[in-house]
Amino acid sequence: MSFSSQRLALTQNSSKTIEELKKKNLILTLTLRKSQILADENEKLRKALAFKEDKKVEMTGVEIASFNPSTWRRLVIINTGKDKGLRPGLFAVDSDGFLVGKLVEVKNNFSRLMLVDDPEFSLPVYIGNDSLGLLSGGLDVVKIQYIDISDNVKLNDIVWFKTSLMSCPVYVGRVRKINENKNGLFLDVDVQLFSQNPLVKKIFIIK
Amino acid sequence: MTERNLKALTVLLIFFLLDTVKPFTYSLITEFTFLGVVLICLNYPLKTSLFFAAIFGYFKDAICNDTSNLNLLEFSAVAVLIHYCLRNFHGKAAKILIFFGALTAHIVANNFYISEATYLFSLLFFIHSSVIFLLINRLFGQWLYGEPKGDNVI
Repeated sequence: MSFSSQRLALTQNSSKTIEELKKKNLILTLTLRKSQILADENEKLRKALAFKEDKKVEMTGVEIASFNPSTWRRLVIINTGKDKGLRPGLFAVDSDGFLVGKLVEVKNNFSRLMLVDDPEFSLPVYIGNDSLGLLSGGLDVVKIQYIDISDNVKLNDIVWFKTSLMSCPVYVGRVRKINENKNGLFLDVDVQLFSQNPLVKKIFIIK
Repeated sequence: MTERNLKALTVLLIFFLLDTVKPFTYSLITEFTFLGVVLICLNYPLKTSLFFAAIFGYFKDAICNDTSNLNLLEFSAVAVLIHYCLRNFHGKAAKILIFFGALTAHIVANNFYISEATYLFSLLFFIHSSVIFLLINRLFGQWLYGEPKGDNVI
């Protein structure tokens, strides 16, 4: 065998080895990515479990099945309904225990969840220690309206709510901006939500 | 159904699926179905455009469950108005202006529907939708209505 043909065979072998190594590298990268995703999910479930045990609340884990096709509404369809004991008015939180939305429609095996930033979302909330207002969702900004002008609301005050059925408060966000209402009787407050993107987080319904 | 119409149906179904799955969740502020309907209206005859606009408007209303017939009416009106404009104005620039007009009308209609004037969100919707429409037109244009590259809507 001549030198050039030996060299050619060696080059072909090297090319094959490189191809195989590339394939192995790709498989390992994908496996690593999958492990990272599983680790993240595990972490979120641990957090949710800690929240459930710490606050002593009954929760059901749900997944988003689809979104409302309109971008102008923040409604999602979740894969659980009356079959798991859900009912309209229940609140949804993320793995950190922050408010995500509330159930507006419950069918046998799916439900419609209205997210906090939906334009039709509203909920009475507390700001800081003793101020009360009405949280209204919005695509540009989530606001709290009808806060008494004499209330001592400060920037970064925590926004939270609690119903008679809950044993602990649920946190919504923090005060980002304070505006005086046009009529001068109330304060309007812009809220920075704690929970941001529903798809990357597990959702839990507080029963 | 002709091959051309079948292609349009496929594209609209994919876009409708994208709207319900939202792979980018709420980071990408656009409506693929609406963009698809506008694209079809700009490049297909009135009868076909109106048919697809009505069908997909109805689908959207059925899934949204709370819009009564807003999308059915809006998409059908958009199809008719786009064809009315195309009869009177010709050329690439006219098509671009018609697209921007349709987008603006969609934004206004939805601001009325949610009873709220959203400035930042509307601006983002306009920008994201324009960029996505440009991409869709580049990617699907040649396959969808067989025009040579660089000679389609935008």
